[in-house]
Amino acid sequence: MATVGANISKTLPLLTDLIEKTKDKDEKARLRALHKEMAAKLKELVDKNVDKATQEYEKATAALEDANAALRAAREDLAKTAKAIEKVAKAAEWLGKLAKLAA
Amino acid sequence: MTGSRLWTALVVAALATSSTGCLSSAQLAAVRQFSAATTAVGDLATSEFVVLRNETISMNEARLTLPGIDPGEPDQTNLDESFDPEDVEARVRAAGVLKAYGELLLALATESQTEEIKKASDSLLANLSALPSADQKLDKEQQEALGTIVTSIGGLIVEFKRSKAIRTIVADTTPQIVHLCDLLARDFDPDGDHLATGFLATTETLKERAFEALEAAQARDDKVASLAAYRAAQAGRDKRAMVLARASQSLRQLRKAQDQLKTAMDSRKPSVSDIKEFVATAKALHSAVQVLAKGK
Repeated sequence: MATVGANISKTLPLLTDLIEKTKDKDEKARLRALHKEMAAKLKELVDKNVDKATQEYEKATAALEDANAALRAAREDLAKTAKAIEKVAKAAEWLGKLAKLAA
Repeated sequence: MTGSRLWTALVVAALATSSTGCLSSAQLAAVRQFSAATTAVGDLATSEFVVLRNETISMNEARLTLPGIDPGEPDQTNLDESFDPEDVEARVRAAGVLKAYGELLLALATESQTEEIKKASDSLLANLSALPSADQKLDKEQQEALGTIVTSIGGLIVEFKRSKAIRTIVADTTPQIVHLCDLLARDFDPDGDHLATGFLATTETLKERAFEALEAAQARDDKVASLAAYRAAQAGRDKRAMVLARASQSLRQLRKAQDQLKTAMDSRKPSVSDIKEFVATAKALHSAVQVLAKGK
């Protein structure tokens, strides 16, 4: 079963790599902000008890999977960066909801 | 037939025909291999937690020196992040139990000196009692009973007593050993949501911030500092991701081998397939630990 941890551990390196490739200044700034946000949310979740049987967990996992696919696509074709930003922002939103539930 | 295959065949044959209650010399050889690997995994886990904590602090210190870094980033009062000393200590104690358990089994399978066996037994009991209560799967009475098993061997090591002690210790400690393997494997899993994942987040943050600083750097000193931090993060990403994945895998193999050893020991006359499975897992574990030790 896909997990948040398994997905987010791929999201951050993919984001780092895309930031290094992106030439567009606005996109780079947006990616950097998302990198910070994702790293902070991940650290909030580390070592916490996260209930996997919640809608938030399911949605966050699915959103991260989408974000990772979009980041991989953008790494191959920088024209797809805007779409990747949109997907990562969505994943960050769900991670935020999940972090609020973490004990 | 290669030496390794011959050894496996001999162990399987000897174990499957053992019906006296004593462990055969081949069975003891399998236990020795498992014990040595268990001790090595315990050792590696202990040192790895300390390395992860030190590297987390070191990466955050490197981030502090980067030009243009935002105030408060990283938090100077929390440079060790998830690796608080008390959390690391709890993990080190868990790894210490695995090490002591391996040493006791090894002593029982090899030593004829009761003092050495007693010393190993005392060490296991001390490590068990030092575990945080949430991680203790044996109560005080069960721990005391473990000590009694070894004491009852007496001054003269006879094979029957040795075998009985090994069988009893494997059976009685399995819930505890399995729990600790799960706990530590989860911590090292780079795809989990525990300590290793936090470590990777620290690595990625340094890599990204160092790259940003490198892009903006004008002065030579700033460029040098940024590049050094970037390289450190890249090396950390490559090396640690590999070590963490292998450490997690070794702990899962150890858990599997412990279960198989218990199955094999539960039976006076274990089945050939039970023994084959244990020997195969113990060998895989032994190889994984050797690779891990070389990769550190």
